[in-house]
Amino acid sequence: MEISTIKKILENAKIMLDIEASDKFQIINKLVHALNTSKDKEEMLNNAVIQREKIGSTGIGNGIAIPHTRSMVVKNLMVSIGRLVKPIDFGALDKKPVRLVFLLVAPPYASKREYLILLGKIAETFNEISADEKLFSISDEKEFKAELSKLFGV
Amino acid sequence: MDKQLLLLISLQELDILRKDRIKEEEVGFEIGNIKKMEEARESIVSQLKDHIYRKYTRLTKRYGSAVVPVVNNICQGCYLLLPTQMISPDQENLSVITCPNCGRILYWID
Repeated sequence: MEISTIKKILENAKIMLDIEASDKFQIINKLVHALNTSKDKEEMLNNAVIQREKIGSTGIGNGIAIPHTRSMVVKNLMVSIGRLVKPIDFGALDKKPVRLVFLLVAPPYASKREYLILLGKIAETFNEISADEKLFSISDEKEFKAELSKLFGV
Repeated sequence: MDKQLLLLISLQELDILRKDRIKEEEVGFEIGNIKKMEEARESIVSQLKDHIYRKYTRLTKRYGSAVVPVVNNICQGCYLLLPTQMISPDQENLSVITCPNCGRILYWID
């Protein structure tokens, strides 16, 4: 159940390889935009993710950040992943600049389980993700997803 | 979208965030800035009309969530299929309306 859930989420994730951003708010903007919702929803999602970010950085360490929130405006768990050309400061716990960002937005009610499963999975494998140089040189979206699946063991 | 409804949604999202804090810390995140969260909440509450905030508080106490989405014209709080006459004017969330069955505040997600 857990494996198939994460696999499905990864398959549907929006991937932005070699994205440019000057700060964490700009990358959050771009990744929310990649989710392809309406303009109203995009604004609300942005606010909700930034609100969460303000109470504690989601830069979990080793160049990985996982901005996330629950929001009323989405029906399903939505994920976008951005790989930065130039690492940026994310106010991370270890102060290291961030080069890979996983954005997660989930509805408050349904998908509660899968949201926490994925959040936990990324947090638990962030050292492996960070050490996988292949992940940072792949230029094909499908290969990128396959490499991530391998790291997550799904 | 109605401004009061927008504020209610932000308030509920913030309250969910407060509840999620312990789970987040279990996963490995550090949530340190509680003061900022409280300030943001106070700011939202100050912009809400008194009777709407009272309704929000009452519904949250009773159900856990005061604002619920409507999906396919079904209230996601009590799963009542909403009567057609109340659907059309409010599909764009132009006012704060409540479910005729459970009383929760409705937000049209589509």
